[in-house]
Parts: sequence; C-alpha cells; structure tokens
Amino acid sequence: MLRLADLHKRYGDVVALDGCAFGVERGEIVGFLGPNGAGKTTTMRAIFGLVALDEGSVTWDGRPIDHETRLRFGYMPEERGLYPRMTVADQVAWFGRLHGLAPDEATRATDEWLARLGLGERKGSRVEELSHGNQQRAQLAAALVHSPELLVLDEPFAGLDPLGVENLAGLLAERARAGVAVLFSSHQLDLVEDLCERAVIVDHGRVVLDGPIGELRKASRYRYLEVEVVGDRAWWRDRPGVSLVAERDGVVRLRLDGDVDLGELLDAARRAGRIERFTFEPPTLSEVFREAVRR
Amino acid sequence: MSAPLLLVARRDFVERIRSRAFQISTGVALLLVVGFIAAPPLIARIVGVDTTARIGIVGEDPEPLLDAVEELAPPGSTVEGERFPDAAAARKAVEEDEVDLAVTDEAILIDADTPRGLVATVQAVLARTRLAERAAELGLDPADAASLVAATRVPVEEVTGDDEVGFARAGAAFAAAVVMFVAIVTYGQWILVGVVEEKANRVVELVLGAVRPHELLGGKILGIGALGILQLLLIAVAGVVTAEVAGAADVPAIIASLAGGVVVWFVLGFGLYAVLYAAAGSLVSRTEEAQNAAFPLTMLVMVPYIVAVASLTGDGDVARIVSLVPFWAPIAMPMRMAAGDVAPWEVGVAFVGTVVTIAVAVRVAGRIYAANVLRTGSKTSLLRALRELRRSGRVADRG
Repeated sequence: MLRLADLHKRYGDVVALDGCAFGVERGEIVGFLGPNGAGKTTTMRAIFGLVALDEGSVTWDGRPIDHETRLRFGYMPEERGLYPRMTVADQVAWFGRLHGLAPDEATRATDEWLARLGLGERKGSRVEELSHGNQQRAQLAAALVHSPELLVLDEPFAGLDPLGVENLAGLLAERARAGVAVLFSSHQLDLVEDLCERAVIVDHGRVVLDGPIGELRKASRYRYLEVEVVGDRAWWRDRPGVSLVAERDGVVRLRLDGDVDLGELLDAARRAGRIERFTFEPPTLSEVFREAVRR
Repeated sequence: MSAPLLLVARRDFVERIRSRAFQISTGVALLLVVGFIAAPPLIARIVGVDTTARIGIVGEDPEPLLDAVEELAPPGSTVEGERFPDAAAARKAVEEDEVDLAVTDEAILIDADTPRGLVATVQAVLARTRLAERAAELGLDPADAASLVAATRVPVEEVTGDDEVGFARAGAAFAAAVVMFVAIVTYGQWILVGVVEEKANRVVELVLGAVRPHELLGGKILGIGALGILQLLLIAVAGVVTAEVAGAADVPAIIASLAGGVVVWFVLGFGLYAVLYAAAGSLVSRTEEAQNAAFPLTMLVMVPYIVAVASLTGDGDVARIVSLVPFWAPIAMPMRMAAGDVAPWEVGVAFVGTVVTIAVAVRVAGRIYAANVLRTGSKTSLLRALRELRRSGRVADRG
C-alpha cells in the first residue's frame, strides 16, 4: 500500500504541506479532496519525488519509494501536457518504454489502451490535432499504458463531458477491482461520493478528515433537515443552532447543530403551517467537505 | 548509459529529424554550401575564362613556335595555334578574339584582352629565333650560335611562398572558427528550445515521473548532439562531393586539415555549452523568454568568434590567450590548430581546462536544471538560482 507520513514542505513563507499523512490500499479508490491551495498537488508530486520534502516519508509496501518502484506507478499531473507534435501512439508507447516495457509490449499495450479509451482511430494523429477531451484521453493512456500498481490522478475528471466522466469512472473502478491502488483528486464531490468508498480531505497542508464516506457523513456534528411548510416560511429563523443551507421551491434545507431538539423543531414547524415534507438526514459529502474546510 | 537516457535521446533525435523546420534548415544549409563551392568554377566555365593561349601565325607552320612558347610558359599552360594566309586575316582574328595574339612578319598583334605574360613569352621566343638567324648570317660557327642562344635561357623555378601557405591556412582557420561558432550556437539553441518547450507544454512533469533529471538532460544533449554531428557530416560530405565534381580543388584539403580537430573540439564545445543552454532554458517557462535567458551565453560564445575574425589581420597574442580559456578554447583552439601556429602544450592546456570546466558545468548547470525544470511561473534569475543552490546544498536528487 501507499503510505504518506508526516509530509512537510515550505516554499519560502508559504506552507504547502504541514504534516499531511494518509494511506491508500491496493484495490481501493480514494478521493482526495481539498480547497485550491490545500496541498493536494504538492502531495501527489511528492509521491513521484518531484518535490524535495522538508520532512516526512512516502512508502510503498513499507519501503521508501525508489526509482524502480516509481516506474510501476502511473501519474496524471495537474498540469496536462504531452509532446504536441508526436503522434498519440508514438507518445503513449514512448511513455510505456520509459516505464520499462519492452518495445513490442509497449506497442501492444498502447493499441489496447487507445482502443479502450476510444482513441483507436486517432492513434496516428499528432497530439496537437486532438480535441481537448481527446488530449485528456491520450494523457490517461500515458498514465495507464504500463499497467501501474498505483494510479495517481490529479483532477482526472476536469474537462470531461458526462460520457467521458462515466467512461473514466468505470475504468477506475475496473482498475481497483484488478488490485490497483487509485488516488485521485477532484472538486466534483458527487462523483467522489459515487465512485469512492473512502475520502481524504486536506486543508492547509494537513488531513482534516479521512475515512469511509458513509462514516464521515455519519460522524458529522451537524444534521440536515429538509422541510416544506405551507404557511409561514420564516418559521425557522432566530432558532438557536439552526442555519439555512438552501431554499428552493418552498423547500428549505437547514443545518442543525448536534444539540438541537428535533421534537421542538417539529412543533415549531407545525405551528407555522401545514407540513408537506420533513426529512432528516446526515450531510452529503459536499456538506461534510464544507464543514471540514470552514475557514 | 541507462535505457531511459537512450530513450530520451532517441525521441529527441527522431522527432527533430522528422520536423519540417529541421528538414528545411538542413536543405537550405546544403544548398548554401553546395552553391558556395560550386559557383566559382561554374561561373568561370560559363563566362569562359580559360587558361589556353591561342596564337595565330601568318604563313609559317606554327608548331615550332608553339613548342617554344609552351617550353617557356609557366607549367600547366596550354597553347593552341592557328595558321592565317595573310596579316589582314590575322588582324581580323585578333580583333574578333578568335586568337589571343597573332605573329606576322612585321609585328605581334594583340588587343586589350591579350594576357601580357603571353606577349612577353612570344617576344622572348621570337627574340631567340631572330638571334639564332642573325648569328648564322654573321657567319658564326653553329655550335657558337647555339651556345649564344642557350645563354638567353634563364631557368624558371616556382617557389611556394610562406604567404600563400599562410593564406590557405588562415582560410582554413577562419572556416574552423565559423563552423564551430555556428554549430555551437545552433545546436545550443536547439537544446534551449527543447528544454523550454518541455516546460511550456507541461510534459516535463510527466516525464520526470519516470526519468531522473540528469537522464532527461543527458539524453537530450546526446540526441541533439548526435543529430548535430549528422547534419555537419551531411554538409561536409555535400561540400566535398561538390568540390570534386565542380573542380574546386582546395576544399577537400581544407576540410581534411580541419576534420580531426573540429570533431573533438565540437564534442567538447557542444557538451559544455549544451548543459549551459539547458540550465538557461530551465530558468524560464515560456518560449518567448528563452532568448533572454540565453543572451549571456550567446555573448560568451561570441568572444572567440570575434577574436577569430580579428586575428585574420594578425593579432596572434589575443588569439593565443583566448584559445587557452576554457569557455573559448572550443572555438579558438581549432582555429589556431588549423592556422598551424600552436604548441602541443597549449593544446593540452586548453583540452584539460575545457574538460575540467565541463565536469564543473555538468554538476552546477545540471543541478540548476534539476532544481528549476519543474518550476513554472515567472522567470528565475541566474543569481537567484545559484543562491538557492548554495543554500540548499542538495536539490530534488531522487533515488
């Protein structure tokens, strides 16, 4: 498994990582969340030795990651980029070779992955001739061509259309079933909720939440209430521990502190008018996220 | 050499050789070299400059005269003769340039184009003939007459002066300096642009996930250097073949006198400047900034080139000093070697100095490259890069 322990990195006065620590098991898909500037990209770069850490260690199966181990990893950096004038197939095969594939293996794996990613017919095109979405697919092929044991993808869903999202999500799930450890960052929290069992949320270079998504939601100190009352719509105002999350079509979504008495709240709603809906539930992942990184 | 280094080298070599820019620039260079070498002999042939002297004679059989002229004329000259029935026909032939010169009973007919050397030779031949005739008329013993004529013969010896050798060598030396300068600057720019493009395209992060920085740098220098040598060889071969076909005889000699030194010094000079250009490229993120970053290097490599041009006028001391300075030796030393006025110890000093400098440059510039090649954003100044290097003592040097 991948283990990151106590990562520290400072750029001048800017603290990028401040004790960041978590792990990813083989066969697990971990969603890596955090606001912009929280340290996600620096963490991912550290896995590939692209950042000289001030402190901390990155290990794979308990051993520090050396160059040979790293060749068994697949990476999709935040900054996308391929050689624009090389053809897709040449390029993907070249990255395969860099990761230690023999020439014929590299060619075969390239054909296979390009076909799976729907780029089979564009393999002879130069990268610069591809659409944005297809460039993204080529980038993925470059990360997957050598069948890595660990996949580290920085915002892999950014810029994909809904079909592309579905395709990639299916592919990551399939890789995880094949025993690959998958770590990806995203701001699309619904997607993370659907795809991952576990999420790691970082802020200010530190892990603020880490666990199975269901447990993270349950462990929240807030509860969420969706209420529709025909009558006085402002009935919930000025009640301690209650705040508005959203209001649409007469339905209000409220966030309640842990100690708010639900019975009292129901009584108050009844007094305000006829209750059409009263749903009580744990937070969504995106609400958990917002609670965790509240500034 | 590691496999990743060779993979990087091969990619740079193959992709560049496939690029339109490379093909066009090589084509243009070939055309220029071929044209430059082929043009003078071709023009000479078209315009009709030839070295055969044509002599017209009235009445007599021209052969004895032609033989005598050929004997007196400088080695390698050829002479043709033509017989005319009378002086008027001979005069017309001279006027119309059918012959360079015509001999009548009364005079030697020439026009403005007649080579003056030919006139003098014909005069001397006629003088000798007339001397012999006159001696016979005066009743001189034939043996005395023959010795009288023989006394007029003064042997001619062609001396190849130091000046001419010096001139040919100066040409070769100048050519060496130009070739080294152009090659180092051109291929250095390729390295520079290659490094900056990888940064600007953002592909460098993905590559460095699988390749160590020194492998990427070394592979790039190896691939582009090999392509540079290939291009130089192509141009040299085209030059020699053209020279052979067109008959510009001294070009192969010049190239042969340069070849050994130029190849060794090219490898040294390119190696040195390639790492420096790569380090300069790693300090910027956009192609537009690349030339600014490389400006100090281009200035540095200009110095020996300017000295090379200037030393053609004879300032040997400056050239000597410059040829011993490591950064300048790769251009100035092959120039002095071609000029032929260099002591072995000087070559040794320049060679060792350059090799040591390369070793230092590979360490320092290689670390600047490794530390900055992933950095994007604004341009990093060289001073800042060096300060950071000193402070950190170590950079992202990975297992």
